[in-house]
Amino acid sequence: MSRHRYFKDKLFKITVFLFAMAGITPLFVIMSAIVVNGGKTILSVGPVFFYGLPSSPLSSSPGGIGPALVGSLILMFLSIIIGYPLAFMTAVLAVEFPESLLGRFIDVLVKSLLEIPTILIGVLVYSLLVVPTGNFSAWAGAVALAIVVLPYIYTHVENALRSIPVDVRLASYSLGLSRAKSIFYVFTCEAKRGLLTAMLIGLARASGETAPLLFTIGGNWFTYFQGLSKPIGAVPLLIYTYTLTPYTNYHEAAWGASLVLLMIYLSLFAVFRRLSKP
Amino acid sequence: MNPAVNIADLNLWIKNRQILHNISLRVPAYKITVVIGPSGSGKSTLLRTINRLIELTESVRYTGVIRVLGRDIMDWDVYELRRTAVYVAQTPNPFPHMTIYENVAIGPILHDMVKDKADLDRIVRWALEEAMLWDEVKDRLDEKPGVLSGGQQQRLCIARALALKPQILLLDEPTANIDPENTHRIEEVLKRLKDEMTIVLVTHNHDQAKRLAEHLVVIRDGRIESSGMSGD
Amino acid sequence: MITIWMHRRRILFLTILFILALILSLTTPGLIAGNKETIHIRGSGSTFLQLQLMAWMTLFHKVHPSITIEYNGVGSGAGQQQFFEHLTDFCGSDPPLSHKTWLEYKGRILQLPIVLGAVAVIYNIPGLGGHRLRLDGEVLSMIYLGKIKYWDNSYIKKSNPGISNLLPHAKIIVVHRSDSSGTTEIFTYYLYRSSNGLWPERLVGKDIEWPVDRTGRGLGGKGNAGIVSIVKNTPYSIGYVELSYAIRYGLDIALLRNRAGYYVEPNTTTIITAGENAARTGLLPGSPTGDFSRELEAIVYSPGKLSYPITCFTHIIIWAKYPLHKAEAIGDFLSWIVSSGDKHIIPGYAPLPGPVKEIIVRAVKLIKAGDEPPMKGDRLFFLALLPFGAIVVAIFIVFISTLLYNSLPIFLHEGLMVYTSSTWRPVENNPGAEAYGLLAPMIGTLEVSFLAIIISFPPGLSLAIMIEEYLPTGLKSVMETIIEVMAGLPTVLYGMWASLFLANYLKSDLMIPSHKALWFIPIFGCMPESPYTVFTAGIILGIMIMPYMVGLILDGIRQIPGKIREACYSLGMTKYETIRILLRLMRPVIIASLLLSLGRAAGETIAVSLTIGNTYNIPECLFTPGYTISSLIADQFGNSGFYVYMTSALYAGGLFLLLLGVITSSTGLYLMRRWKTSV
Repeated sequence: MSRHRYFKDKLFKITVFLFAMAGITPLFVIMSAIVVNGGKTILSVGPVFFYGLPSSPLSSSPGGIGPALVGSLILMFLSIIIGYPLAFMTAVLAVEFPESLLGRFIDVLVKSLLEIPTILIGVLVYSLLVVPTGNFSAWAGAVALAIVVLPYIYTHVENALRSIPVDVRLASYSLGLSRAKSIFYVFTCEAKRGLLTAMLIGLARASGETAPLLFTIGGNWFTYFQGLSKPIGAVPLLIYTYTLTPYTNYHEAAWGASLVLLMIYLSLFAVFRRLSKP
Repeated sequence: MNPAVNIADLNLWIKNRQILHNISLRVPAYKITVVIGPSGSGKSTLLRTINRLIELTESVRYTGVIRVLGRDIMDWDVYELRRTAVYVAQTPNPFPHMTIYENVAIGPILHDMVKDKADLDRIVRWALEEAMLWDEVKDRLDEKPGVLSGGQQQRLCIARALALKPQILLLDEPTANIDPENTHRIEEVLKRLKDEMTIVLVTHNHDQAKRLAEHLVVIRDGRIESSGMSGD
Repeated sequence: MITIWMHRRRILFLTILFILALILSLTTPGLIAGNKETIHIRGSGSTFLQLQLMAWMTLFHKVHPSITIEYNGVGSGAGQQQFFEHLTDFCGSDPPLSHKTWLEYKGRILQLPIVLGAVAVIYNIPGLGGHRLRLDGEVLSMIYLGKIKYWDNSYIKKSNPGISNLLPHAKIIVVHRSDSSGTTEIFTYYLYRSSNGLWPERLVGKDIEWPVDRTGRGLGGKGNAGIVSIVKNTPYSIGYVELSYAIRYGLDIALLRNRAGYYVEPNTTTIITAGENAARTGLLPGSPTGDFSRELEAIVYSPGKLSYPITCFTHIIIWAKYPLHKAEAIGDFLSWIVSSGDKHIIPGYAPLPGPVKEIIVRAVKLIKAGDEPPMKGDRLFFLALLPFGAIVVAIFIVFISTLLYNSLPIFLHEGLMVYTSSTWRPVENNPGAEAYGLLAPMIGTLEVSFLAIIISFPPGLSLAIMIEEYLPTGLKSVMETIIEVMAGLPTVLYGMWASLFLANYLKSDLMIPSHKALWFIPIFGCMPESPYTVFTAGIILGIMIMPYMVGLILDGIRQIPGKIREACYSLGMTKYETIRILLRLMRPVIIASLLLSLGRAAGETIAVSLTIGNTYNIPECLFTPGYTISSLIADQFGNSGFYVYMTSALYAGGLFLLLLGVITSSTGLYLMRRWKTSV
């Protein structure tokens, strides 16, 4: 090989690697920034950070994020309660009844939900649920979140159902089990792992979404959970709100909250990864 | 005695290719009927047509009449039909994520055949004993079927079928991928079972056919070449 | 999460969906509800039968109000098809089932002649003065073969001695059906039977190639109505239609010579006589389970002095077994036809002769009441799943209509100005003075999104190449995991980090130096005042969108068949040269990926809102703060309630975002799909 070609080949490889590294560097920078700054905050505040109430902007303490943390967990839970059955049933429709018009149609429909900007979903849920009921509520937030996570859960449930081996299907039907029984007793058992990863992906998504909550949950920073039809807080929204303020102690709290959110996300992701790639 | 399965003028197409031609066949009750033929001759398709499992394949069309226990298969509730005439596949296909016990128990549970746990235990044990598997698995009922050998898995599938107390057992080359020792055992099981149910066995193994057949059907290229009681 | 990228489908539908969804949601309740009290019987098929059935149904419904019967005249062929696909409960068919079809469904269906009809030969010859034209099979064959050219042809004169001098020397315009039709089949069959071999058998059928067309005197008409209108409006034309049409439109009907040598006109007597004589031939089965495929042989050109030669039965085909309530209803209807329907035959049809009527009586006894059709459980299960499907459909309908409904006021207020102006003037308590233009945030959205994909493209492409072409398997999966983590990382984390950390560095280390160096280029032409600018937002958005882009490009690379790579290496190419070839091959995928990423970037809210500075401003220079549509919504929606039109303007912004998304993703996915099918 001519030295010229060899040189070009090497140069190309180096360029590719450099750019690729530049591409993923931000992730590590962000994570370490969050760990360092957030860690500082949490260490300075102590465990109160997790259950305490926010402090005044005039004080120098970052305060706690208790109500938002509890709110976030409740919202994640609720959005899965709403979104998962919907995703599961529609996926069953699409996978097990592909010959029906609705079966084919629902697949495209659910996946198209991915294309609606999440802020729009929040705004629409606001005018459909918040305005008529007259107040921000956990429900409205959960519904908005559920719609955002629906296509993600759906895709994973769909993959799980599609990956059930033909053998198992044959075995189930040859025992005379109806489609409903086959799906709920046999296939769900076989696809347990896939169905679980679908739930985790839903949770991970729901944990970090901010835009759908902006106009739906109202944001409760000082009061703990008061009921589903009352406003509620959430960690991502708290981070967003605090970041927009000019107060240093709130920024510190935002770093701390980010660390909490990062941990929630990463742990869900780790379990997801573990389950999806055995 | 009335035939357990009576097939008249069966023609079957899959994706517009005719697989079966003018099959007419009477399967005598409480006997072992062996359908023999080279691979690709359509014998497996014939077996799956009897309990309408073939409908899981896309674009199947057939003409003719199949009566199972005197009733047109189109008049049966399809799930009732499949549990009356149970099919055991060529490759063992136990449910991999259920325990051995659950594999056998799922049929009776979902078909509402049992009243309580004791009842269920009894059926599971009976089915496993009938399939000559009980002694080998009685201490590890809670394990997954993955721990069993291929032959044991196939007997587990037979037990799973037997737990439904079927009247007809449709076996699709159950010993094709199995060692001689297990083959022998399965054959013993079948010989013992024929007093309780009608058995249709598909195979391409002539020796096995000779050993088991009371009624022998030879299929080639989707047509019946010969059919008759063996030994006379 | 890479799997999600790979499974995304076209959003192109999003708009069509709305309409479809509406239709679906209207039909879904109908599917589930279904009134138990009334029994609906559905049928379709022969248009010939439609008028008669409609006449019967209205009468029958008065006697049996709990049974409604619906019938669509879709043509015999389509009717049979719908029936066998279980879309309908019965079908009306002019020709009986072919022998082959009958064999296939033998024992499962019942076939019954239901009424007699006839095909009339109609003509339009001015100046005949009330005299009826007489024709026979041979002359008609020669006319339809194109061999007889003029009305005063000697053959025609011979059959019409009384009016031979009235026949004009005019070219015959020969009209036939242009669509596939049972009428054509019967007519051509008559020609074949009655012309002593002049009309060949190969020209018998529902849709044939008419020899007369080659002479230029042939005309095709669609349906009976088509023929009627052509013949009516074309002097010197001849055609054939169902008798009822000829009667209804008052056309001249020719007398035809029957087998016994008599010229007869089609009327109730001659038609019934033909039917009676047909029944005597022994070619008709006596039972509805029998094979009717030789029936035409019996009835067309049948013996008897008074038999009209082109007579035919029309049939109803039903299953031998129905669910209980339907079996009863259909039995009732058929019995009613035998007992009372006969007295209500509309002109052009004739009731069945006695022996044939027996077939219907027998059929009523043969209909069995069976269980519901098989797979009942599955049907129920499917119905149970429907509400979930309906919810998703409803979400779409409600969303899109809310979006449209809420953005309507601003369009009424200022028209399309909302997209073309860049004034933002909220005025309290004076709606008339309010003015909202979205131009600035629209430009902002585009600038930020373009900046984002420009920034993310080099690393995105490099990552994809590295993962697929350079990394060993183990590292590959590590790298993929990193990409997935990046893709799923909550956007607020990116935003917060950019806002509290990155922005200041960007300002001091990148924006100020580039302004100083490149001040003469307009987009770098201003000195950054604040760290929060369009540029900052573009950078962070680029970082966020990068993993998404990697997924899309990877998806594309993996579609390239291995043989291309092999071919490159076997030519002794270096990796660089190979990749260059692959990249050229992938150009459409890369464009598609950029488009899809652009759409994704345009919708992102939180990170942008935290970094763009939220200022209403047309950002001519990258280093000024601005707005994107989504950050405008995030920032303004909360207090838009103070004004009359602001909320609506923000919804209009949402509409723009949605449209932008639809356009970019549908184009992107279209390119992607077209490319995938081409490799």
